Amino acid sequence: MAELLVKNACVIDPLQGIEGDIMDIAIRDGRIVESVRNGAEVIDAQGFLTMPGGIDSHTHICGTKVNFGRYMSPEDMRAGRTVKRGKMHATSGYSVPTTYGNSYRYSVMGYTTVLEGAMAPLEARHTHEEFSATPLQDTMANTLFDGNWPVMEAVKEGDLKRVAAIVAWILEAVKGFAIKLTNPGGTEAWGWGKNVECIRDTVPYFGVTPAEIILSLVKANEMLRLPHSVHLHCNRLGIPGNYSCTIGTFDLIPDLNRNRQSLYATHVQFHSYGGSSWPDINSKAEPVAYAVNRKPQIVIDMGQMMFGKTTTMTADGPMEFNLYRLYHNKWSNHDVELETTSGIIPVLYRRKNLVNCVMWSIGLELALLVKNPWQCLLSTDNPNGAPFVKYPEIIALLMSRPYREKEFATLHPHTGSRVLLPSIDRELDWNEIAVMTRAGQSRALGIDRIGKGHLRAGAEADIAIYPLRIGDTDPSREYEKVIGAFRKTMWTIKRGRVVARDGEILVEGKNATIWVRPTVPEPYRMEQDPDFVRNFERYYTVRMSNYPVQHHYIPRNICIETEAVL
Amino acid sequence: MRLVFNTGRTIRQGNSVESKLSQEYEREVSTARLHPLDMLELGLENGDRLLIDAGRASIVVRAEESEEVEPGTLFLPLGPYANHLISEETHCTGMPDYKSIEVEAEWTDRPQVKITDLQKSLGGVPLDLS
Amino acid sequence: MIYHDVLCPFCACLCDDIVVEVEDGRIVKVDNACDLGTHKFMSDEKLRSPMRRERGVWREVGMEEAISRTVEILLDADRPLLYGWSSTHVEAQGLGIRIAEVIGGVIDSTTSICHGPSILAIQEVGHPGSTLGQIKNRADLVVYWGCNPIEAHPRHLSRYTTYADGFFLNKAFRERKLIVADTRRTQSARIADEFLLVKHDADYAILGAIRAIVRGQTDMIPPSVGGVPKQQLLRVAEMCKKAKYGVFFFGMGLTQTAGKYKNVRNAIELVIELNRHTKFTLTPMRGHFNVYGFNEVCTWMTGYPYAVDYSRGLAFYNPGETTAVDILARGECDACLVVASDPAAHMPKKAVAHLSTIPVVQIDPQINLTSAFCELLIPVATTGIDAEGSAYRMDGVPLRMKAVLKNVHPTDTDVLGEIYRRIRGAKGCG
Repeated sequence: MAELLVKNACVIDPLQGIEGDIMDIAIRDGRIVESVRNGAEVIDAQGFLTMPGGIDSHTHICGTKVNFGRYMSPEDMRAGRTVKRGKMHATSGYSVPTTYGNSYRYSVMGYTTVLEGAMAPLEARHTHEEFSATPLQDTMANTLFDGNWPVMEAVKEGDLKRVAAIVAWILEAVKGFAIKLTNPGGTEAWGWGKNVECIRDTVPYFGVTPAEIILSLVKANEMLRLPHSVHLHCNRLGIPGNYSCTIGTFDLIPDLNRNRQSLYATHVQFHSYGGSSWPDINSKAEPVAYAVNRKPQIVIDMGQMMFGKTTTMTADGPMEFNLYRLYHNKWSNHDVELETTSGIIPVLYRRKNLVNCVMWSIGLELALLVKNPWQCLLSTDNPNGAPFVKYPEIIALLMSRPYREKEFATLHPHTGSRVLLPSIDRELDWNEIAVMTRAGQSRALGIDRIGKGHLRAGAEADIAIYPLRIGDTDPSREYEKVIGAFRKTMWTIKRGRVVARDGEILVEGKNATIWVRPTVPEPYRMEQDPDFVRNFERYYTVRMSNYPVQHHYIPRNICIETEAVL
Repeated sequence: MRLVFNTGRTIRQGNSVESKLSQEYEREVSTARLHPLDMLELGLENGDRLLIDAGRASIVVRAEESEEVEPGTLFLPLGPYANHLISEETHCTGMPDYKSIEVEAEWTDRPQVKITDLQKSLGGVPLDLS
Repeated sequence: MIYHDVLCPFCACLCDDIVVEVEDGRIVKVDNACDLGTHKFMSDEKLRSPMRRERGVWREVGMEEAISRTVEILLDADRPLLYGWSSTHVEAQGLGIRIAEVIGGVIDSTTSICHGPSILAIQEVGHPGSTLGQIKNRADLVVYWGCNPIEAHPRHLSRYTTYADGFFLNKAFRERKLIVADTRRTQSARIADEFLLVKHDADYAILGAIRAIVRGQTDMIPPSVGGVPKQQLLRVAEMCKKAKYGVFFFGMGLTQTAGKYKNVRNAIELVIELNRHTKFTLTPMRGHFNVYGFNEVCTWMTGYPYAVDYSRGLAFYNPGETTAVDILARGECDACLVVASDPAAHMPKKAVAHLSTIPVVQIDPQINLTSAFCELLIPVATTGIDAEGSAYRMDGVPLRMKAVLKNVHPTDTDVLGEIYRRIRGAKGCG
């Protein structure tokens, strides 16, 4: 029986409503318990800030496109190297680190659970192989359904039950966690080098609209009673004037679930642009935030952009090609039969570039204008807006108006006429930051019920202790101190074990993969559906029997079983 | 006669790749294909021996005519005979020049060496498990 | 016993519809596979016991002696090279990378003398690609450049391109156009709608000319480029632009000729250019069934697809310096572990000769040309026949190889895992 007692912790745990109480946390065999025996190992947290382990609800760290980002970018690999030391493997990479690089850097920042934002079902095995090499976080994968042929056919027939049944079969087969839609319909159109404009456009050949795909899957998601909602990357990413498409998409979504949102819209910074072309781009964070404020059924994440070099990678293939035509750097694309696509290009976000400055402002504006922090979570769409190692700076920007002003003064001189940021006084507090970096993610993903994102008895003992006393810190003035503290925990505890101490990784670790298994009634089992099977064997290039990911690939896993109501 | 030497995979070389000690493999990878016109000019009949001299090294192989190769070129399947002629220079790419090597080729009555002899000449000690 | 949907462990087409019949622990019948695959399934020329060579004499030894001597050789080496990896599963490849890291060695795969230059080109300009099913279902134009699929990837045409029926093509064979470019009139060339007979080392110039035509610069093209008449170049460029979905496959004809990665770069830039007109993708015709798997696992573990040098404790990559042929030809490495490959059959003479001067251990199911240069031969199960594990198809689709026979020998994972465990123990890292 492994027991640990964290004493004198200054705990912020929004899911339990704890806002800075000094308390002890008892841990036995990887879980939080009421008490432990005398003689348990003791960590004295000395009143330092203690929170549940961080959760990233949208990041790109594992799988085909992420690895291709590394593969095509030796220059990025050279920009972030560390040597083999102690329990740590050698790592490479700055914006797309190797799996161990990701895992160590997240762990040092106190993150213990991460969600890979986009997994093509056909290539799921790859994602799971990389998860196994990401040992210090629990992992889960959004599964792409944006251009799925059988799903689009069922949507066209208006057969919601069939949509749900197909999703159920694929999620279980690929050991996925949630439904992801990336530029729904647009990824199929990209198979012909085309795209869709917005939600009312029609997908070539299939004759369905993005709106129909989105709404069908939002409903199917609830029929399957999945822990997370549909996770949407809206159409029209990164195009001036796209905010109206974003708001139009939000307007589609009914409120279907009492416990959480019905739609998670990701990296909304990239979807909140006004203007009609790059020269007149401006911020439309206000109407987008206003729409979110009126709709409890929507949760968004920021997709904050930070200045510097990074690599963009998304299942939105046509968007990446457009970006390539702006940057003329290098471009990779990878279309996946019957399912989706992806694209990658390296970028440099510059303070001298007005568009980049507007993007930077919009992300922060969204977080400051959405009233309820549970509805706007902190992210950079790692590494698209910036590598996740920039999170501490984003936290400080949200907590400090002076820091924002100092940064704003360095931007392109015309930025002020395009954005709202200078007029916003709000400074987020510690509790709001805790919501935006763990508790909100836990609730939005529906993993609070499996003990993630809080420190209630029975929860997973994933804990981050930061070298900062909230009582003696004024984050508005002392933003540098805030940045330093969130960069490096004193202790990161994963499953009841100290895995990182003052920036050093102490254990090899082993991840657990969280996945869902929705059970559907007998007539809806797709493996017995003659049409589904026939088309699968005819149009995929792998046999249906070779498609499902074997349990071998998820040696340690947490399966969330649901009973579908069809 | 000056020819451009080229190497690559063939289906027979691929078939015997799992049994590289076999006669079939040895025969396949030591058989050079030439255009019938070049065969004529070199005075070669199918099965005759051909000396290929790449300057730094030379080797004797079997010659066979093939309509697949262009006049002025010579194709020898990937394997130890081809390797014998190839330089280790990779021009900082990791990849030697396996294709498009200028060679001098002529009819010869010198014997063709076996793969095991080639191995021995490079310091190898072949095993015979048969 | 009949096994269905078995994966073929020969080439990177990674056909997964093979039917294998097993009787009394032997494969007696193989259906659906090509000649190359069938031969591999049926081959029974396996090494039966570990072998060791001392003072010019080979003898059988036990597995324990073989492994402990291997560990000794690797621990004793100043600059070990761990080479091969293309015909084993990803899990074993990952262990190889771990071993290289802990002993400060260099790890490289057969990639460096196959599509290594393609990777260098991709690192310069990227890779517009797709899975093979996207091509099967959509492509109405297929280009094979400097490769001969009928001989090297025999089922490529029937599963993925010319003869494969796809969703958006009813009579695929008639609706799809085929362009082949090669220096030889190969079997693949004979079935082409357009065959470009390329002069040696002229690929770069020809690709450049087509790029220029696609960009509208037809006037600057001379009457013939690299042996190809201007009229044909114009026709080919027009076919590419008019296609609804085109695909460009290429092989060693680009990577091994003069210009090497620059040829591939030109091909990629042509494909990128064509994407301004229509949909076009590109796929290297990878050779061994899991050569791409090595590139994948090496990338997520080290940051680089091949040729990684751990001698400074971090992953260092510099093809031309840290690639196998260069390290061997410079006489730099002082021990070599060869896994699932046959460098002596594919490397220049001077690189092979260096192997005879250093201790070499080979882990492989069978004897091959490299065996003669080894001190130790360690027999293992064959991935895809009596060992399971992951493999990545030429387009990156990850699949799981099956075992249809019970293994007599340990798998690569077993042997490398044991070597890694002992080396870590000796190095005091548990």
